Amino acid sequence: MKKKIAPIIWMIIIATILSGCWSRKELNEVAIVLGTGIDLNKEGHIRLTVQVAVPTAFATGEEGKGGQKEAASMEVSADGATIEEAERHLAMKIPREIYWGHCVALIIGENMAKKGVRMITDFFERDREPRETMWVMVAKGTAEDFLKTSSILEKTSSQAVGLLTRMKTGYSVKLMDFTEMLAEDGIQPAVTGVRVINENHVTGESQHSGAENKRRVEISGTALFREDRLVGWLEADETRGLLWLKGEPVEGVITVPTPEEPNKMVSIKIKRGSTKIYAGHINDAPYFTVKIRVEGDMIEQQGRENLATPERMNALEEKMAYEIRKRVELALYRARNIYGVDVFGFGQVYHRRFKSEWRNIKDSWDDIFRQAKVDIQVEAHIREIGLLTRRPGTEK
Amino acid sequence: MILLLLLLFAGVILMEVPGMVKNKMWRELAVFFIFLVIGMGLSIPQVLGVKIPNPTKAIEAIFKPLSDLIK
Amino acid sequence: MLEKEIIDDKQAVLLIINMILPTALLSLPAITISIAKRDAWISAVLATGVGLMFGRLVSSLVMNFPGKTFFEFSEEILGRFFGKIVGIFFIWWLIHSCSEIVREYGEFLSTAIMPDTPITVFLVVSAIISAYAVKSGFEVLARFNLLFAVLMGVFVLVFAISFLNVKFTRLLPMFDTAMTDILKGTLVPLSWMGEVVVFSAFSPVLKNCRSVVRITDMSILLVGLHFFIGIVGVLMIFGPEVGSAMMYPVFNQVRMISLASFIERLDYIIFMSWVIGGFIKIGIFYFAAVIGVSWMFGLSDYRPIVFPVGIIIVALSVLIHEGIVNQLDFLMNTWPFYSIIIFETGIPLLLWLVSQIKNRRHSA
Repeated sequence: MKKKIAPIIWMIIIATILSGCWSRKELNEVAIVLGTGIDLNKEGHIRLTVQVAVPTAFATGEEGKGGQKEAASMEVSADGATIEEAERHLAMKIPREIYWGHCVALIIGENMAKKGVRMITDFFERDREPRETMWVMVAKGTAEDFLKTSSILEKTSSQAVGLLTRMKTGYSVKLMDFTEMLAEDGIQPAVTGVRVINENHVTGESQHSGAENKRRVEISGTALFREDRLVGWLEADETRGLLWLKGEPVEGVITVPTPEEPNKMVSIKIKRGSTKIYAGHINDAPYFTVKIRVEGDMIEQQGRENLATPERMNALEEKMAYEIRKRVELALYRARNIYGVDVFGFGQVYHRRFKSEWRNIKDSWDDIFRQAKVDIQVEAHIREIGLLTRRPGTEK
Repeated sequence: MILLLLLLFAGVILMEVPGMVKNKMWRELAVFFIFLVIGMGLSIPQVLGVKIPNPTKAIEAIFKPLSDLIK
Repeated sequence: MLEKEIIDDKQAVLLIINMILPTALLSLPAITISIAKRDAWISAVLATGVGLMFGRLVSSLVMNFPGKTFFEFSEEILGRFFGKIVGIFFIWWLIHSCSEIVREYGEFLSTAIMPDTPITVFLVVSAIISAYAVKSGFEVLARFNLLFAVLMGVFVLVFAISFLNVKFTRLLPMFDTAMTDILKGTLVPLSWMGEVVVFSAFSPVLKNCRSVVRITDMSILLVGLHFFIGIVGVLMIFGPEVGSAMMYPVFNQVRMISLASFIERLDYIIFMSWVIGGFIKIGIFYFAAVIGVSWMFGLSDYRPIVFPVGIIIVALSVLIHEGIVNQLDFLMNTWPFYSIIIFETGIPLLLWLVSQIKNRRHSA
């Protein structure tokens, strides 16, 4: 008797336990957030905008085939005193449960960034769904506007911006790195800027499509922070300088005039580079030496001169080094002398070398940094010149 | 909740006691019930929402001053 | 009580490692970093050094009383009355730490993985599974532990991938924290290392009692290495400020993995090996407590009291802390003193001293 009952009891127990998960979320019950935008509304509250994937549009594969184009995402906004409160208000507009796990980008509107970002980043670090690896960006204008702009190539603006960021054209920052820059001494945060641009002047083709398609998203400069407040921007060229100073891998092209023909240009593709910053003292004042080493390949030449001689290569390398130094100095000048922030982490470099001195000066670091001398040395090398040694049919 | 708990106790008794009685393990049986009663005493009040003293509070009272001392 | 059940040296080393490591990797890095900041890894190294001495203390006791459990030799050294008193305290400590572990696991699962499930479910389920393992005997635990060794390999692999995100400069400057803080930071890892004393509660299962020194040394070193890697990893990926602000930084560290935008979201692998490791850790403490209880009352078989003890463990795990904040505070400010002073050094040292004095008298 007992032998017969035991299996039945076990079957009942197992059947009740294994039938499902406690808090399962089926795919058709969740709204997958691709991008989040946070703005400051007129009342000074947080305005949360989420870009939610529309699953059917992703499922159809090639789009635009049947004539009408289905939007791959929808954007919904709601206000609230905190992010979570705004999310609750969102829940009234979206019939599904909001799922943050696939959010690619956190876009902060300009006004919110000026007010302070510490009050909004906490949610994305504390909650277990949003990933630490999402990209943080500051939108010129509002984040809501940015998210609502669709991208032509990618299905949603979040994806577009995620890809652009991965291409390393700007100073892309992950949420965790941003948090670290906010928390640590001796460095101020800097993140990629993004904006919406109107393309009314382009070819006739785009004039047929609706007004939405004339607008697209792009990476634009770098936002600079003091503590958690936005203080200013770096332009695209200066962003390059920032990347060099931070030792981030720079991918891109440097265009310099040909040594003999100043109005003809040569393009050099950067292959690899490294940056080392050394801290020192001159008369008890902090002093930094920045050593940048860069290697590149010559990609394109406009002029007619034969560059494939050691002397001319050296001249070209010098021009390249000068070009990089110019950008670095520009970035340093803009961030340090105009906005007075150390987004490069010179303070950290100093701290590593002089830990006891650092304790005394760390509170007034921004002022001290402004006075500090920074010596920039660039060493450039050109390694490959492509399939041509010189331009055929020109000088020997 | 309380029903589930009582069911659990009943299940444990049903599983263990017959074997012990069959093998005449009286000593084991006694210890079994002592610990079961302690377990009941700890769990039933919690399920019913009755406050019972928390042992870690006593430990904290003794040892936390040490940590404050070296702070 | 433990007759016939025998494990070899390798199993013993793995067992001690899993007796200490699983919970340590959850909450230890954050706690240590919040005390010793950038130099937390120095604390881990120092703790390993002191931990080796703890291990030596335990192993010399085990060597002097071959074939006897902690409870049996404490009775032999201190006499029947004091031996029983020490035994009662020790049993309490085992049950209490077991419920701390159960609670820690429950909190981890409910904050990081399944927030909607009531924590009681995790507490009860983990206790039931461990109870089953304990009831099946010590060899089952030790064999199951071997399975964990395989998972450990996966864990190490995932961990290695996460190290792609490191920046060595985050560790600099060294010795930036005051030496007193670094020393304070050693206490928490030390309280975990000291758990090696639990091993003496089932030392008779060792095949070869002579090798116990090697076993404890080896396992403490390996545990120390894991502590070191765990802390250094968190420091080099998040830096001291962010790393110490996190609840489970190692979990975040694994979540950060993104290899070629393709190998991502490996956190569930880590989670899986953690849960299995957790069951083993719970099982070992549970087993030691049950052995202690059955010694206390002179039972011929420990199996009947497995469930009652389990019920006490679960009930305590709910009772001991109101929330995770209380538990973190307890683990940081009370637990190290409580367990190091009394159970991990105090009692073993007392036993060792008394036994030495007795030996002298005998030989004199």
